[in-house]
Amino acid sequence: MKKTLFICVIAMLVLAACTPKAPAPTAAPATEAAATEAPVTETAAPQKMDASITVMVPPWAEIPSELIDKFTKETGIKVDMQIVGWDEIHNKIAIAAAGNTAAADVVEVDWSWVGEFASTGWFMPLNEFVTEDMKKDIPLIQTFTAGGNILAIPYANDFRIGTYNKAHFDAAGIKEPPKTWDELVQAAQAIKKAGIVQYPLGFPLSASEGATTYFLLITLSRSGPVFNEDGTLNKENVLSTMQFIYDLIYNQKLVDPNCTVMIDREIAANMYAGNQSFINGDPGMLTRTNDPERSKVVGQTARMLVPGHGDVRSATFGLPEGIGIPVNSKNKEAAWKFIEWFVSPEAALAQFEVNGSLPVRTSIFSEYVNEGKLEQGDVLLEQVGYVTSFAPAGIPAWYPKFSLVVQEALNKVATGTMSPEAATDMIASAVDSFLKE
Amino acid sequence: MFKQKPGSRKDTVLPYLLILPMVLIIVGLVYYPVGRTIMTSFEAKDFTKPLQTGFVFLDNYKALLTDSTIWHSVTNTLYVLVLILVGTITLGIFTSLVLFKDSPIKGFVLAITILPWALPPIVNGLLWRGVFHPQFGIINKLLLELNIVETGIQWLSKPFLVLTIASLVVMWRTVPLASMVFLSALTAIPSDIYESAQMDGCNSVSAFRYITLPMLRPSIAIVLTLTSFVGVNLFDEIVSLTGFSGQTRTLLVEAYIRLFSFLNFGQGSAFVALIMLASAVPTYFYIRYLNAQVEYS
Repeated sequence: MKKTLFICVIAMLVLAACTPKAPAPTAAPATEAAATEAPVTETAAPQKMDASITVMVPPWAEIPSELIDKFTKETGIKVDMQIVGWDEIHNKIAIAAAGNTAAADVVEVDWSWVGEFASTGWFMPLNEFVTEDMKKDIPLIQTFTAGGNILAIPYANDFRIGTYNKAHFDAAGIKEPPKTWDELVQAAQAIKKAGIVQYPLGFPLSASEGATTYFLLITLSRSGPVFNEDGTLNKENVLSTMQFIYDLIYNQKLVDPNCTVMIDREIAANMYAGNQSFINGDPGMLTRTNDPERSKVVGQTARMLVPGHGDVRSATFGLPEGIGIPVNSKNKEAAWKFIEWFVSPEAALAQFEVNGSLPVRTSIFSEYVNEGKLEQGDVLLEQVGYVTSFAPAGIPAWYPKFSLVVQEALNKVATGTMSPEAATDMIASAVDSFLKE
Repeated sequence: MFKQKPGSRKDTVLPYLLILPMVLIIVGLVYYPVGRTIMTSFEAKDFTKPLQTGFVFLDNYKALLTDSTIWHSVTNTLYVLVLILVGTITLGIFTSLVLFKDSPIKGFVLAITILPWALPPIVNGLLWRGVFHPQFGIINKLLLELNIVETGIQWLSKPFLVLTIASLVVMWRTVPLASMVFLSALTAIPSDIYESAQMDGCNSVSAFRYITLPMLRPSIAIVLTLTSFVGVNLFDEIVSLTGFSGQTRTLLVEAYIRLFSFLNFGQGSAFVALIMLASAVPTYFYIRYLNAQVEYS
């Protein structure tokens, strides 16, 4: 009987947990909640708190547990680090928010989710906490700002930069890294002709987010803006990219047709295997190509700027990752203390050493370059100077829908089932309908 | 000794109390979410448009049924469903007949057969993605090694091919279960029926057609029901093989995108409600088939 009663109680608790508790957040969320919290500045003296928080981040944001223990010792805040797959985090945030709870007290916020989360109001604006010094030292905060609200603080400084196999280029008689896309194609032709590799270039062309970002990068650096000033698609530039990719696969045969089913990590694996001569990847690509445990081309690769076009030397955009506080978090103040610490020089160094993540603070970044901690740091710094946004008005809320349309259109062009013109029209009409919505 | 009076209060209340926990769990974890999903399907609930909320009755359903992309996922799902159903029933019966025969390695074969069933769908999908991968996959390596093809086949880039492969991958998981169900049903058929039929001049084909198959009817209905759910709810294998490609999306993948990528819970819930309805329709016919009587003249 006792057991039955126990099961009854458990079942009731489950039912109670399923029952909605509070109204869904509105468009202008949590500003009041934020206002009620005591602002914590970077210079605030460390205060011990008796709190426990959960932190949900992807594997590449994991830092040594000894460091977390140190944070707990200093602040009194116990941290439960939940390492979750990047794409799962978005779902967990959505499911938790739909149930008026928080997936964790501190949660990963990708740059591509900013527009969407700005509309949903699921994240607490951090304006109250962020000092002017912090804004100045972390310019990427701008990427996580929507409608004047800072939704997250970046912790990983990710942007696209070229990595090339210098040995392949040398063997084909190319002494300098290409400056433009036309020069890169000429170099790839020479490498192919010399029989060094069959497919010197590799792009992710499967239906994946990596394909969209690569496509946007090529458009931005090779032709120019992806969107017009009125927000509509720049059809001319997008069409040019579609034709370019089609030409590289079917006419010049410089890109492996198998790329149509390969995600970005598999394209990178081709680079590590020495089957590819160039890749636009994250700043950690060079480190990985020099890792003997995964790469056969150790010591053969070097950084180069993302190729440009005409007078434009280069162009790239940031894909930083941040952490924010859901409005339904019960430990906002402790969560902020963690975020503040997570982007501190100490934690940044741990992330750099363990995960290869570049620091988001300009001061630390410059320090690493000066100290020679970053391989070819000068090229990295130069590339940072070309960081821009493919959506100057901010990442739109409809970005996930846009991304899926781009993936599908690009994949169809790459598999030869759709013409570049039709694919461009498909994306353009989708953008028009998103704007109408 | 104390004896409980028949019809006493304890006697009438106790059974209800005993099943109450299970009822509460089922109501809380099945009926409440289903009811909530159906309620949400009548609401405007797009989290990217938090100000546009309220009761919209059938608007979400109308929007879905007039969206051409949905019909693509419907045809994809139907194609996969038919392949899976036909393949699972045919191969399931065939395997069970093979396993029914006495053999010294029967136990080993049984263990090997059941193994794929134990694999989680996502692992199953990833495993087969590796097998069919155009560059690293073992099938292409084998074909190239044996000089059967000159260049690797792009197994995962043609929608028709991907859906067929996905069906085979799912069958790899569903056939073992079907075999087990059929095997237990075969064991339950009395041998004297076959002996009588043999004395009446019935050959093995006729015995299979007029005895085995009709006697397997309840098992076939069970397998059809379970496999239909697997087919209609196909998700992990497709996503593992081709991601969220628009060309190979099934019903559940489309619903997932609307719910978790577009954050449109109103439309996503309507989609899920339609999928539930689509699953219920074949189940009704299977149950009718299950209850049909077999008569021998």
